[in-house]
Amino acid sequence: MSVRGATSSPATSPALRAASAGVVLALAAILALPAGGREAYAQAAAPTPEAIRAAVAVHRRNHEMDVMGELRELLAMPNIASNVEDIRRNAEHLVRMMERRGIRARVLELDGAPPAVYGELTTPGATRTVVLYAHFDGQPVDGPGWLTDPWQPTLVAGRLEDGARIVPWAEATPPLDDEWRVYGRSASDDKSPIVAYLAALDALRAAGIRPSVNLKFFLEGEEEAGSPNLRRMLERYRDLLAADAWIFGDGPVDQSRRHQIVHGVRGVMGLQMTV
Amino acid sequence: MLHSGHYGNWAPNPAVMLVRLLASMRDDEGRVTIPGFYDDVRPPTPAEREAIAALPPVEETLARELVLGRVEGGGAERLPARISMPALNLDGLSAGSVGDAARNAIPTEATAALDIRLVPDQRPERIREAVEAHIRGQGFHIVYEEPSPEVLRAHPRVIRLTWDDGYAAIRTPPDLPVSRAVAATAEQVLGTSVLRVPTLGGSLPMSIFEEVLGVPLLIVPMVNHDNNQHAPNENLRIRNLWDGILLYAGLIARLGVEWEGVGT
Repeated sequence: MSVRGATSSPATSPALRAASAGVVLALAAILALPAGGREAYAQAAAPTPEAIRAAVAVHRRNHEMDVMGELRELLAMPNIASNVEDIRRNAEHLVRMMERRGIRARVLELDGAPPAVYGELTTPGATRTVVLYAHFDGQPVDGPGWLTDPWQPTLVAGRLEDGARIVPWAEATPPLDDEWRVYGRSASDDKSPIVAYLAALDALRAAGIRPSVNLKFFLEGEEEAGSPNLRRMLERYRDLLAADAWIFGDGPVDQSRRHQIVHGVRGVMGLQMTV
Repeated sequence: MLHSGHYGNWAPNPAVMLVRLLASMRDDEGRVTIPGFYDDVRPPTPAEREAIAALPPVEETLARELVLGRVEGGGAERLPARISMPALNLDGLSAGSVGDAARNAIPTEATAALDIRLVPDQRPERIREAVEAHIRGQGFHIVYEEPSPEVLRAHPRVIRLTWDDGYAAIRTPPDLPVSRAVAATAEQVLGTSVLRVPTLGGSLPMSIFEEVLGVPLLIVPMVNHDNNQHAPNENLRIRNLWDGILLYAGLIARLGVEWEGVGT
């Protein structure tokens, strides 16, 4: 906790606010569409992979530093699962991030447990509902070995451990090199998927592409603590979380850097025996 | 602790009793020899076997890097196939002293730490019953607290068990419509094939989602493997961020369409 002082975060940039305003307008336009039947919907909503790639490329060109700003702001918020007040601050911040995009969002409360975050975005005509999962709590940072302040997201021109130089944010100009990295607790586990979900939505909207499914978000606040209250949380909000499938943005891609879809995990039990 | 000269060959040796018990629980190829242990194992489906066969071979390189002279199961099965089966791992063992502290003494007690990796449809409570029945079958009286002298005098073999009950596995079939739709969508937007991994060897409490909500669950990662997760210097590679945005944009924009396409 000695590093708790370093919580200053970049202010939300005017560009980001402008982008958010545009997003809200785009959402209003989407909601104004007549809710057609499934066929009309399917015709309207079959963007090609090329169109999606173009949408993301344009978004990166126009808003790369806005996306980084949102990531920095989130990573600068301490999020050790055992500190419920910090978890709550993160949860409220995430609600605001979603609300900026017209996602109906709220903090999910449960007695004696750190809060979770819920969001919902329905698409007229969509017949399936998918929950996008991530967790916003992180592992403790008290071990030795941090080369940067874990709560001060730091841009590095490669791997810090290999001696790559730190790039001051003020000197970072887009496009950022693909091999550069952002250092900080939860940069990968598991705040960046949250930023990616929302940036994906922004990119699609800017290109006029509608979601093909109803979206729900469930962001957990105690995963790194072993999810001791998860069952109660899911039982309490079972109806709210009803969906056709869940997608978990968590864990790494393959060591070969190829992307992977993981269909399962093993269970585990522990046993100590003394004779 | 007893003098091994005065009492060895008369007083029972807890370390020997424990290692004999451990040896009775699994064989040298990783096969668990506890009766009933495999009863509830769901055999891999043809789709899962196909997915495993399509994964790039890493076993030879891994074995070399990890300096392994052999692998369990004789190498006939791939690593992803082996971790699709349950495992009983001996993680720690403690009794007496070794090295400079070694002395000619029979240790007072011996302790082993184990983890058991489960697969569908094994249930932790059923596995616990099977393990305890096996231990009793080996002649042990089971206790869950520090045994009193009375208990120790009354039973020839006493063992104290401390369970961490854990949780079950999950495995979403790769041939479900949603699984196929997610994989197809990911490949379309990324413009490259993606690996379809039936299961991680590791454990996450995803069974809680399955038990409460009963819907298909899929993990679609985006971050770099060398991210120092849980360690100092955690990081995110910029390329992975933007590939992730593309991947999730693809799922948001196309999954519904693909899902209709693959049918129910």
